[in-house]
Amino acid sequence: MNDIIEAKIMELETKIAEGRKKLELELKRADACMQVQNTLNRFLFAFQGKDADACVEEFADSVEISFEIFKFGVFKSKENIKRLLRDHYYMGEDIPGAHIEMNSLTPCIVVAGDGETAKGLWSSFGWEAYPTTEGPKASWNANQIAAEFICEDGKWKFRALQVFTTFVSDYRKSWTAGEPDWFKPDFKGWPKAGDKWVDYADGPTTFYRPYDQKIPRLYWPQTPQPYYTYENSYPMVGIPPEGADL
Amino acid sequence: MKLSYYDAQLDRLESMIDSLESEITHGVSKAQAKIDVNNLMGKYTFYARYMMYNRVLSYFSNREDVSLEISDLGVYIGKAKIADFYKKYCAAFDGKGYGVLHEHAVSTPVIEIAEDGLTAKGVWLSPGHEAFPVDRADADIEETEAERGHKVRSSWVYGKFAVEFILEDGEWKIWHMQYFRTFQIGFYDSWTDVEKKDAWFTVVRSREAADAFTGGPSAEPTYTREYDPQGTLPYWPKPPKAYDTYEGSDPVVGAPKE
Repeated sequence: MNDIIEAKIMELETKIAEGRKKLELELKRADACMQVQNTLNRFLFAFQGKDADACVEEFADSVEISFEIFKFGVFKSKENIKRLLRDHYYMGEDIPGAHIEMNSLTPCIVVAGDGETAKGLWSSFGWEAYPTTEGPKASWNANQIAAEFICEDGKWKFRALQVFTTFVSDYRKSWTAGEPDWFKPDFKGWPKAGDKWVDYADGPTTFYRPYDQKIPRLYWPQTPQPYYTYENSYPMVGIPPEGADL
Repeated sequence: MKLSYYDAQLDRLESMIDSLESEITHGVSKAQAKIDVNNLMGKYTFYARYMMYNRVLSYFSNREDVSLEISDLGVYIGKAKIADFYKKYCAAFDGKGYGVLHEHAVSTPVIEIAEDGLTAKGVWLSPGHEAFPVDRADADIEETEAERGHKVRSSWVYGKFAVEFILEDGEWKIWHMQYFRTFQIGFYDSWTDVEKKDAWFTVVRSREAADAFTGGPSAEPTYTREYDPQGTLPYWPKPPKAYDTYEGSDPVVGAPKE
């Protein structure tokens, strides 16, 4: 009789411990949906606030990272990301009128079944004032933001972040008119002597296909699909995988 | 075996279940709080766009130190003062809604719920657009060619919300709300048009005009920096950091610390 009771107690103990594990995992996954939005949005706030240190703080330390924006190439270290943000987005400098704001909208987030990673896709629309020697130039920006996250010591960090440009258009022209001159590599009117197009990326641009009335749109980046572990999961960033339904 | 042994075992199992229950409640209520706070901001902006200020008021805390600060209009402290502000603001812009469009969306949320679950803080970017009738004597606005003959003027209004929330009788309420206007500019002008920027919407931008219909704020504005094509815009407000209790935490409203 005693043995039966002992066994029952052990069985209940195990059941409670397992239940706790499952619940903790599900709570973590539910919380992650909000936390990864916080991570992206802290980055976007810091980006408009021109705080390069705060921007790179949102990237992971334990895995290889990547950042890609516009057509500057891929940046794979915090140092290089910071350099890009300082050189091309004038972070940490008092350049009059320089400002870029990107809103995150339309979130689509999937947290891995094991609760260790997450992926998300957002629409983004914003305004900017790009500094030139003739003063700041106003433009609209529209993007899709794709991100992969990893949970590091309870905090959600980017392992990959890519801002896919849909269009950047002169305030006074439509998005059918193409990008303004001040976004072209050979533009001569950037505000600092010696300003030049970024040439220190860790890799070439993977995917740059803004809206162009002469080219059909491709479905890339794509909304994240449910997955259990990061390994072999469908990517959010870079080049579309072979066979992707674009 | 003695009965007391089994009593102890049962007690242990019971305490394991209790601790599990409290962990679930804490985790779920924190997750729910983030959804509730985000929804609260959504509701605020939806009702505000239709000037339904009785609804808007119901989202504010009943505490004496509840506050509202909208760009350069000063700080309104206490619910009666906030009610007065909204009532008169609404009336000043033809509360019936003819010609009025007042849409300030909220996006890009960063929300932190205090570990003790009693307060929360959040920041949002806020792209918006407005339209106002200008057939009023005090609306001295330059007419563009495209607008000539029309009785309403449209403008872009972009800004940020920073809000502190408090749990009151089980419901999340706005405790301190501040709207930081980044720029307001006529539809036909851009935010870099220096010469147009200051002329736009004197009726909204002038403190004297605003005070005339709101009865004046409880305190001077804490922060009025806007985007300036000839200057730099400081990084403020900043997203909240994770925090345990409200006391001693970094504020998201007011002016940045020195």
